[in-house]
Amino acid sequence: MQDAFLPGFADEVPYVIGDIELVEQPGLRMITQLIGLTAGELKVGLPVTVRFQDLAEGLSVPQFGPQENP
Amino acid sequence: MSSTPGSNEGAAVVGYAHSPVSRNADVSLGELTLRTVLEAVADAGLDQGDIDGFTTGALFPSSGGRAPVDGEHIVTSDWLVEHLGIQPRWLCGFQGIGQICGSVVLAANAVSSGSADYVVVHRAMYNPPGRYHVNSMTRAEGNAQWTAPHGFWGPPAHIALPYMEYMQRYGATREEMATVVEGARQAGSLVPWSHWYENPLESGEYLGARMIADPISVLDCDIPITGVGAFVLTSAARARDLPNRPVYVAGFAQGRSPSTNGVGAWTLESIQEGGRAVAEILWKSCGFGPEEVDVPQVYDGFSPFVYFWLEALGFCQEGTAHEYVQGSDISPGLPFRVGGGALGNGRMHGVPQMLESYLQLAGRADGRQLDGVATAIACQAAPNMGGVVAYTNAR
Repeated sequence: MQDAFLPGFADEVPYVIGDIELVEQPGLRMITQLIGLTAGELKVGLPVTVRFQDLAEGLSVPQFGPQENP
Repeated sequence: MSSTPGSNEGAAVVGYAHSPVSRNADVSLGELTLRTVLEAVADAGLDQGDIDGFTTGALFPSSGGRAPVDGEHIVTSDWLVEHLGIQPRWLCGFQGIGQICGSVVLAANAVSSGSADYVVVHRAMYNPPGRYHVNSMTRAEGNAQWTAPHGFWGPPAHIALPYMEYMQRYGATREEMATVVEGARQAGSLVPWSHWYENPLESGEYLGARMIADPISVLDCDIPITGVGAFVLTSAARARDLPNRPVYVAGFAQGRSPSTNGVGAWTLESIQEGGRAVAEILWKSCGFGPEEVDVPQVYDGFSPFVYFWLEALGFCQEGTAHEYVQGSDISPGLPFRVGGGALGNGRMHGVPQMLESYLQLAGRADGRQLDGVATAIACQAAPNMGGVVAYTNAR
């Protein structure tokens, strides 16, 4: 995303949105931010793992990034 | 409908009007709609008192969280009849995506069944001040709770994911898409009421355009405008007594996405799967196939929709539209974007596709008129969730 449509994201651009399918439950897909990946590494089918970011008190969101020690 | 060729049944488009369009209109949308509707009625050779049916799909497509006011930001058929001072026999609103297609289906059924004799279908589009899809929400509820906290919002983001997947899966490039966008703008530059009239794209402008949600740039999106399109429909039998050559509704299909990722975000698979279902219904409904379509007006409010529609309707194989549009038979100005579409006209939500289908088949397209055309299709929105109407000028 090069453009921020929602409050709080203006300082984040550019950021990367991904459509993730869980290997633990095929067919379960979710929209999240992808972090720690360069544009050249982004490919359909790329394996990623989850991490959680605290946005506010009592509010964490899952984000996905490169698999560590694959 | 094709099952009764030569009969008096069925519906026809018999007149139209298109307002001037602008980024910042100096009249209210309601007034612009009144003027345009009356112009369409006169164009059909009718008087205001003849019109006894009204329908529209009044959706205001901005996801900016605004509360639309009837007569200012949207114009419903209820607002229209109140301000025309008409008590119609039949009035109906279309609720769904593919507003102009859905409205035409309702109108065609109304005149075919005798619920109304002469129906006005209009579409009023408003360009709000400020940015179209920027939303100041501080709470995300419903499906948005799963997407907004990640910064996923608005149609450009929705389109970017399946288009990115399309590009990677089939090897499509932005250079290929430049052909589509430049072609639309070239065609639109010849349409007198287009926002882009006499203003085609310069070479290189597309590839240099500002990115919004990579791979969607500002030039992959139609430009928001304020404008109104209006059409008059009647039965095939009544149409014969009116001055313009009738253009018959030959068939239609309405998309309904069979699957998404569960939070309303589109997947490439859901677009393709939904598109195949729409195509099957459309071709059965109208009785002809893609190879017999003279004026294919696919929807292009976002440029990748051109690929999705061409493939869904069988103009080319799945995954090949990005190559197909480079072919000499689809060069700029030729049938599939002769009307300029959304990219070549502005955000009129399917009006350009329907209007060009009508004008070409009625023999009223002036300098853009193609010879010997008998069939057209007019699409709106994406094939998995929009609509498509087939037209013919032959009975």
